[in-house]
Amino acid sequence: MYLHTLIRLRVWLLLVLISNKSLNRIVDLLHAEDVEHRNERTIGDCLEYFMSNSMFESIGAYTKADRPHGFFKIGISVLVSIIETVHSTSLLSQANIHKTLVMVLDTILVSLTENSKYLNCEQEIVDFITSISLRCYNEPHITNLFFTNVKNMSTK
Amino acid sequence: MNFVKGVIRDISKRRRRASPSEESPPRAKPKKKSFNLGKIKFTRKKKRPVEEEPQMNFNFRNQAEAIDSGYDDKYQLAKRRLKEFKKQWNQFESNIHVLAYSDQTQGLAAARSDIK
Repeated sequence: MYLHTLIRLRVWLLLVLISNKSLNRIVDLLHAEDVEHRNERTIGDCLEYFMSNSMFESIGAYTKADRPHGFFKIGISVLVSIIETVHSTSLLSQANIHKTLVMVLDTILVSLTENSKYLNCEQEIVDFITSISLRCYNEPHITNLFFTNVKNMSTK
Repeated sequence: MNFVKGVIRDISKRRRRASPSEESPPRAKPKKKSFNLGKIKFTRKKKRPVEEEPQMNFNFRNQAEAIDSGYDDKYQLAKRRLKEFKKQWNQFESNIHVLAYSDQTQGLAAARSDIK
């Protein structure tokens, strides 16, 4: 039991060190590129690669599954950073991105109502919902995307 | 007879056209297109040629020219950034993959299939 906990702790530390560093660097690069392209309203190379390789989907999938254990907290904060960083294009109106966000929101809703799994991540969850709400406030046309397909998106 | 006269006329016409000495008198300049509306006289103004906006030229003759224009710096920066971006993503994905599967992941595949 003790050994198992020790291994998990080690895995967790490794995860925090490597994945967090890489993800933060990714967000920094996206931010640097976005600042250049914000006035022109064009997509840069990194953002194009980000979208075409469905990176947002992958991060969302790992976040939803909470695998490796504890990734939910990191993943959700990265998603928040990406949503807040990219302003050169309407990010949330992209099909794969709002679909992922709806999935994560659905997971949060289920966890809060049924098993209270993510109670230690309240701040991150609030930030996540706030960032989406802010984007919806600035771009009202995307609001429908979060309501129209609720039945289809439901895991049940 | 009439046919012969016609042929001669044609030949003389051709000669007249061909000979540079007999130049036709210069044509009178066309009058300005103007029209009167009561006492006021309107004259059409000539249209000014539209000045084209200077456009960015990307057809560089050599690398030195591209460097001078500042385009090359931007291009190199974007290229380096993309390379770094790809590297970081690959690093993250390989690490997370190992960690996720070492953590007996079963929900991951389900989550991915749900999203896709």
